[in-house]
Amino acid sequence: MYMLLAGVLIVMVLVCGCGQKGQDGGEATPLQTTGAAEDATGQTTQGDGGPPVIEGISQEDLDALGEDLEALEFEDLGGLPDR
Amino acid sequence: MNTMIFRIITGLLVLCLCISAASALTATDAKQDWLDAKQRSLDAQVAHKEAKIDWAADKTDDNNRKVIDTGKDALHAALDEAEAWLVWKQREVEENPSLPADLRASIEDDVDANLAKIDALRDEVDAIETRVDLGITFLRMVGEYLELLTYVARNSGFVWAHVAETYADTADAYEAKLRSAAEAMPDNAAIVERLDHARDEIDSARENIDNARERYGQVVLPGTPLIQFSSGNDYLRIARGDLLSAHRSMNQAYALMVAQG
Repeated sequence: MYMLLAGVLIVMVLVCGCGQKGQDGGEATPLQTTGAAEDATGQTTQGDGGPPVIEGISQEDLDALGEDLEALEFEDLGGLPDR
Repeated sequence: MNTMIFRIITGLLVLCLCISAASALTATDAKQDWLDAKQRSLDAQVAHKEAKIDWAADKTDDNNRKVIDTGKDALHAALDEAEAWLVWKQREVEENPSLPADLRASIEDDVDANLAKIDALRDEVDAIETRVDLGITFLRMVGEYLELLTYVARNSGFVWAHVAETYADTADAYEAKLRSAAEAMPDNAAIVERLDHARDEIDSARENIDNARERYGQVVLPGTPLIQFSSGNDYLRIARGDLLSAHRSMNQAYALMVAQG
């Protein structure tokens, strides 16, 4: 019976460890994202891998910046009730 | 004996599941929890105001009791909101390793210390029995509530300013690349005009980010930290609008450049 208890404790440690791992290594909120891929020379290419339309920047880069900006929010705190 | 061990195992498993679920909470979930708690706090404040109006109109024991009960509910809801906000801030820094190390460490330390204080404040609210208790507890909580939030709010504001600045840097870099390409084009007046507009908007965004930083620097005690925090947020909202406007202009410039081929 004590072995069973010990087994359960080990499982608990593993499960909690997985939960923590999921938090550390899981979904991250990127602060800065760019939707475009960069080639080895740092030039930005279009999504289909074609040549850059304008050197160093693509429509995907601009779209990604627009999405990041749209997602920005700066919320106030609620505060205490009036007495 | 077997029954006792079975109960211990069951209890431990439940505890394990709770810990696992709590640690899996993402910043997005935590933010939604805070927004829900904020709404519940506003609702509780409305209920408390209505109870006070009822009592003013008809000073019965029942109405007096309602004022006390709704006051306690409102204070508890405010603490729930503060707790949910602190947990969100905690998750936010945990999920963003690119934040400046001093800001991360400061927020993590403050959140841990302040979450521990909230339970003590809940006990104070639970102990309220009379209108006098309610008034005294409320007055004491004003200071303690602000202490809970002030320094995390201050650093959270600096984090937001840092994030906004990284986007301003990106916009800056894109504008420079577009301008460089435009200068090599023969008929570039309309393009340069759009880029000039984008440049002005990016400069304005940087000014507003600086203003926001200055306001967040004033999120201190004694003072009016939540008002300063809100004012800093206003500046960042304007900066966001500036950057979106710059983005539109760069999109237009890009389209014109592509059209010229």
